[in-house]
Amino acid sequence: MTRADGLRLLGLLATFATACATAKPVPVVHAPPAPLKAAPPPVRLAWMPLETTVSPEVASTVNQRLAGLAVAGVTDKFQAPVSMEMAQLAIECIERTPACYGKVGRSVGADRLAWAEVARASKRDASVTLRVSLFDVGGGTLVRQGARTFPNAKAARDGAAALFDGTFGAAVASAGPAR
Amino acid sequence: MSAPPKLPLAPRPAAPTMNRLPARPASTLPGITAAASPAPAPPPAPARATMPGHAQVAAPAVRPAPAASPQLGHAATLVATAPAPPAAAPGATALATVSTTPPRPAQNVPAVDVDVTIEPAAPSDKQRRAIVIAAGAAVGIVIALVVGLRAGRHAAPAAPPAVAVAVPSPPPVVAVIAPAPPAAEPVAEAAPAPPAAKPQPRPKGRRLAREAVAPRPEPRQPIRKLALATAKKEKPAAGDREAARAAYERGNSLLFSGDAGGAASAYREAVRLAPADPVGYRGLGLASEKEGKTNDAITAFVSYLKLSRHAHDREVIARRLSRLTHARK
Repeated sequence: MTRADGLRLLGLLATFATACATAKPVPVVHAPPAPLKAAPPPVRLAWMPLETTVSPEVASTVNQRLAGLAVAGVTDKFQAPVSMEMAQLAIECIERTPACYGKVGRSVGADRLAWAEVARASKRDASVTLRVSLFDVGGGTLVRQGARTFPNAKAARDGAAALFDGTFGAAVASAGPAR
Repeated sequence: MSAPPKLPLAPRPAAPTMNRLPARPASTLPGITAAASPAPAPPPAPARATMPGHAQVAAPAVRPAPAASPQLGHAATLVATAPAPPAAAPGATALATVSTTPPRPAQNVPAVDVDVTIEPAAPSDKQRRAIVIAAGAAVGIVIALVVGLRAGRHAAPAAPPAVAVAVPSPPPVVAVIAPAPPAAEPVAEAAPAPPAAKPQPRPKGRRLAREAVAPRPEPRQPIRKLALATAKKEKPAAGDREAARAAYERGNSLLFSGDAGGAASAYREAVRLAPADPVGYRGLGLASEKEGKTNDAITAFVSYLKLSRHAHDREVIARRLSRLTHARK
């Protein structure tokens, strides 16, 4: 290596060093502080009363149980002004489908629906079938549903509590006074 | 192809001919009977007619057969006259020439042997013109038939012959739907009927027969039924329908918010705007039931069931009506 070559190499090194010295430093971005966890939205449960014209003695007991129903995650509970059948008739969607239940839920402004239905077998047959349901409006699914057939209305009234407890189990507790 | 030369009418010895047949009974020979030889015919030969004791007669017009008609392009042997086959139209000229000879009495013709070579005569200009015209006419007829068949296939079935009968029309009864009283059925009021038309002169003859098959005017119906029927037939205007629907939705909102009285008013408005639409009556029944007005609810549900013959919720409403009726008792 001659002296001239050494000078060239030195010049190149000096140039690189100058370029590196004048480059802007990469700015350090600090992540903003994480926001506080938002409060969960309120979950409103509407229980839809059973009409007394269907079966007065059963309706009284069932409505008491519905009013005292406590569902996990529900922040607000209220009684819907109309029964499920009346609501379905009004919105012209009488099928027992999640789509119709969802429409009813949106009409009454609820996130969960709880209701009961009573069906008599026939005029000659006194047996009564009691069905209770819990519907998730947002998910469009039936969360719980149970049904039992009783020999008559009196037996249905007596067995309604057992049906509620057996259907809703641990996730749904039936307690508290009616609101 | 050149036409073979005509044969001179010269006496010929009674030499045996190729197609000489034994004498036939006279009754089977009304004229000259034709029998084409089934075997392939020899090349075109001059026609000759052989009669015992008579001079031979040559066929008048012997022309070469066109190559396109093999059935007629060769010699045929005629033993007697027969009606020419329909396909032998070109050759029928020669055949006709032979057959036009008046039939001899049967007893005078014990046997006739005719050897005639039929070769279709070339159609003259007139014939060609006639053939072209006939072909054109046939094509036209076929086209007309096809078009007519297609038109008949697409056309609607022919309506039965209309019987125009002048039937004295019954006096019209005008039913007016009252503007939706609260929770009540549509009230019908019969307008005063116009004066009856003058009795028409008694029809006679054919007119009387036509009148016999004419539909008779319907018997009078109760005014309420007529009002209901009129409400069914009447179609509200599009704007009224939309307004009625809006009123119905407003009633639903009020019903779901717990204001049954306000909901009933909204449903009544829907009924007033569209009395033929049954949904207003249904909403009115629900709101009245919620209010505890059982009679109004029953009336509204009855109206709904009358107006909605094919509604899918008809069974549910009927069950609800039955429950209400039992509860009222």
